[in-house]
Amino acid sequence: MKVIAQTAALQEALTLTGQLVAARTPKPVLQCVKLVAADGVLTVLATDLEAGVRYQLGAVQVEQDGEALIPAARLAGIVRESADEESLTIEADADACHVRGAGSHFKIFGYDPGEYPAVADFDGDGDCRIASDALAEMISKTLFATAKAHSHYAISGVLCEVSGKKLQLVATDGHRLAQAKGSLADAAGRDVTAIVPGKLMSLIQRVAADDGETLEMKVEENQVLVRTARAVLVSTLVQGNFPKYSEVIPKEATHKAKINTAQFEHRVRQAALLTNEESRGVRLAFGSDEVVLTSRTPEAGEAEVSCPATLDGEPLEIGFNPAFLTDALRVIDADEIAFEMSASNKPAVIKAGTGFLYVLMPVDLG
Amino acid sequence: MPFPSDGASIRPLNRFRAAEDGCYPETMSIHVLPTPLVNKIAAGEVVERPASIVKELVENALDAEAGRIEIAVEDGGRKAITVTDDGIGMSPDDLKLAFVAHATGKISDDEDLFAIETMGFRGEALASIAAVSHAHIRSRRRGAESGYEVSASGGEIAPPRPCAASAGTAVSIRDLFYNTPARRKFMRTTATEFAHISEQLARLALPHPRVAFRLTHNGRESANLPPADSTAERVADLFGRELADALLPIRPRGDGVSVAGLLAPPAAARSSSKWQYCFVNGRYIRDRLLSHALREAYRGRIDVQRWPVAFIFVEIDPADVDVNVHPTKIEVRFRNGNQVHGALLAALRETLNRANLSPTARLGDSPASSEGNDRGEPASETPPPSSHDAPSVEAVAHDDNHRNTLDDARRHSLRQALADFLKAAPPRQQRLDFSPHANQAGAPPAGTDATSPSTAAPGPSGRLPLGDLGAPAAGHGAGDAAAAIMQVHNSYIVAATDDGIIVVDQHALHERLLYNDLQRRLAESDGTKLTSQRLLIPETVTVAPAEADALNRRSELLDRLGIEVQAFGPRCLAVQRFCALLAERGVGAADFVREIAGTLAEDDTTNPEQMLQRVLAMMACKAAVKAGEPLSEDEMRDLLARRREADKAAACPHGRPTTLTLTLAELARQFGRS
Ligand SMILES: Nc1ncnc2c1ncn2[C@@H]1O[C@H](COP(=O)(O)OP(=O)(O)OP(=O)(O)O)[C@@H](O)[C@H]1O
Ligand SMILES: [Mg+2]
Repeated sequence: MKVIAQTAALQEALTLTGQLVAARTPKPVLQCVKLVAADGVLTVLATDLEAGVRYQLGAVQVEQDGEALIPAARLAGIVRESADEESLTIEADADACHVRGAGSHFKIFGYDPGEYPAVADFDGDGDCRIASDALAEMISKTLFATAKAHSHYAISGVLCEVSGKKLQLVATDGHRLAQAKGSLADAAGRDVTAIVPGKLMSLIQRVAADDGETLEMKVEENQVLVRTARAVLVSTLVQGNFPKYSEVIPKEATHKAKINTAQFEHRVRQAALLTNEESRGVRLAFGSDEVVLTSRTPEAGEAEVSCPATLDGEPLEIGFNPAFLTDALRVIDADEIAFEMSASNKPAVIKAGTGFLYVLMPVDLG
Repeated sequence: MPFPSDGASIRPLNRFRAAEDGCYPETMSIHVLPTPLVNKIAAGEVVERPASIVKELVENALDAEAGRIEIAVEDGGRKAITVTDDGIGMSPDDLKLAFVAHATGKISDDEDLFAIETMGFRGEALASIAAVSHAHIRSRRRGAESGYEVSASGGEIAPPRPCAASAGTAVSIRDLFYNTPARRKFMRTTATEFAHISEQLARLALPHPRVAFRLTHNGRESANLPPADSTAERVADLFGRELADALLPIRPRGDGVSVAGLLAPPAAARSSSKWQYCFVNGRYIRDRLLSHALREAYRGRIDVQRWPVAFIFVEIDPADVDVNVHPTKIEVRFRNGNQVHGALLAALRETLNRANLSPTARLGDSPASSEGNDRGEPASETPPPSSHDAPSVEAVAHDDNHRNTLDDARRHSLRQALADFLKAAPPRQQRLDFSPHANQAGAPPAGTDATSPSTAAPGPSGRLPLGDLGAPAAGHGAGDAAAAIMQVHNSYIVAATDDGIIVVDQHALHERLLYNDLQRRLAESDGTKLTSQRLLIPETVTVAPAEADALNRRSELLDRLGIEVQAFGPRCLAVQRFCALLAERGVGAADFVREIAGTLAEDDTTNPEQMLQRVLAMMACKAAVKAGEPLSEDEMRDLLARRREADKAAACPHGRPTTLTLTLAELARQFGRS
């Protein structure tokens, strides 16, 4: 294999694929990226056995087709330290891989490319198509609510439901639930329900954010594939049952407040300053025209801040983990939120813009 | 005679012969004890507590070929225990002898004693029990026209009388220890005694899956075990599907000693050894050899503080095992202990190796992924330590199966941490920079000579550039030595102090701080509780009856901790509220409640305050940053700042140190500078 690749493009490819290279693994081949040169294109492949990526580099000149399996961190280091070079030549034979710049030559020992696990490719048509920036935004509005590690429900991923021209993402960690709805570019080929691991979602987010284009998605038996202009992302699906989320979304509310998003977020952060690690809780007292936030840490002090709010309903006091509030407020771009509650021990709902809904459970302040 | 006839192994038998024949060894010059008194003494050995009675009565029912056994208990067994079976029953003649010591239909001579196939063989149990209670038996032999009943009180036996009875036997024991006040005092609370009975039921029901069992307490059903086709099903009925489904079957082996059973994967290990159920020829036993084999088989797979969950059934020629060494038969002696140990260890290892203990979803067909498992090794084997690879402590810290090696790894990486630190922060004298640009560089960071520019770039985990550490506390004035701070191996914080350096175990310190905070919060005033996060989707957890009871009894403790559980079907609980601290740290509510339940059920002797401290320590440990978690500089500084505030931060709640100090004097000594 021999290719001449633009250094900047190579670095971008290695940064993205590097997300899936395991830092700690007993299997050295999994610390590698695989390079495949063919048909005038260089493809960089990486997989951690759960998710995989194939990234295509157009800014290359393929001199000789072939493959190489190279330790990812080594190669990335060399490329990063060669930023002053316009391009690098990568040449691999059975023994080693050579990276050459204008005044540099690195010889890296790799592995037999045949030992690398297969990374599925996106063949044929997808199930649906969606604007990449729209999807990235929906992901940012839900991904934060996934469980970090959870054994009971399949909620370490984001539920992805495609139906007609609609896409819906739902994520929950058992304490709160985030739901984002959006539209597809055109009607989906078929309806799909799948739980996509958070890792793939954040990878999609990375690829999609700077990619003002349409991407395609396809769900097969136990895996999901995403195709963008330059990359194919693939991941096994989270197996298991997603909780019946529609049952936990309150249908009605007796107290409805409207609050400015930015002001409210600011106030919540202020109130959080006087909470303690061991007792995260901010008390929200909703009155007819304002909400007063109080917090207290016995050994440190107390905070009381307020924020204008219009309340429809009787005054109500309710406690929340401030982090659960700011997590959602941070990703909302609408100026105003609707905060809907029915009791201090019942779930509350934040609605904002079109298609975003956030259910969160209160805390009992001891 | 297959066993050497040393006194201990046939002790009860001697007594038996002596009493029955009325002739005593000539060397003994003692007088004959009145029979009830002999039995009262024997009762001390056989009848320790209500659960012992349940054991003896159920064993008798099993010996009588019962298909269904009902156990009804009142007031933890202190008031009444009734065991009803549908077995062969007893004739009036049997009944006459039932309460007579050493009357047994099960063995008749010495030879039998060494080839025991029934649970009972001494003819001692009923007599011993009747000596310390009001006992009553009602029985009808299979095929017999009518039934008979007999009662005994403090050892006085009334003659059998005809009565109406269904086929089988019902034995009731009331007012245990009514005539031995000293022993009555030793009985614990109703709940404790009942917990022992529940546990006893498991020990009896596991080796007899085909027999149906039902246990009621004060009329309320506590367990209902339908006849099961397999041990696994019985485990599911006793301890829940969750555990049963995770079990790995031991492939039966039959070279002389046959070993069968079920093992839980290392991840399901518990904080107590009581989840090790070992049976020899259907008899629950405790044996050092067997538990040693278990520990050995799981070595390197679980933390040393935890015990594997296992159900092990050893079948061995009755002639090769002596069950008559302990009054309650809980201990046995193997004729060839090494052989039993070897056979068990081999079977356990084989089972664990066969199982793929780290199920990772795999992508397509990968030659690489098949590697590890074809060799029959768990895929989660710790990578061999190597100097340039990722530090082994990180690999270990992320793998629950290997927590036991954590301590070693900690020690190893502590040494490594110091070495790294010293490498990264050479003594100032060595930092003289003769490069021509030294002066014009001026700005402090340029002085970071020792390291290459690449290492000075912030690491991916937000680690501090090593270079900064070498700089003479730039910009903060030389006095502010605490400015030099770094995290090594994502596990330790190394910081300069005025008179040396400290190495802080991030987990241990954070754990200690949280523990102090939690304690302080609860001590604030009488009714304070921890902030409690309500669950949007309650988590369900299956626990053993004894654990459910324990949770019930300590509901006040749970409430203070911000935890609320509700019954949700048999043995199943739903966690409705969970301590906000743990919820935020992503600790699974179900797992934590299961662990607390285990701790509470295991020991209820501790007073509530001590128990609270224990659970707080558990919480702090779960919520604290783990070894292997990268910390930002701010987080590190915050931890260290709080370290100074916190009293007692020198040791984590488990007593491990949080901080090691290396003084300049010590450094100088080590470098031969003094
Ligand atoms: N449920 C029962 N059904 C039928 N027979 C019974 C039952 N319970 C007791 N017996 C008879 O009563 C006898 C005495 O029982 P006991 O438990 O005292 O002695 P054992 O079982 O022979 O020996 P061990 O003292 O070791 O238990 C038994 O040998 C048996 O014949
Ligand atoms: Mg018996």
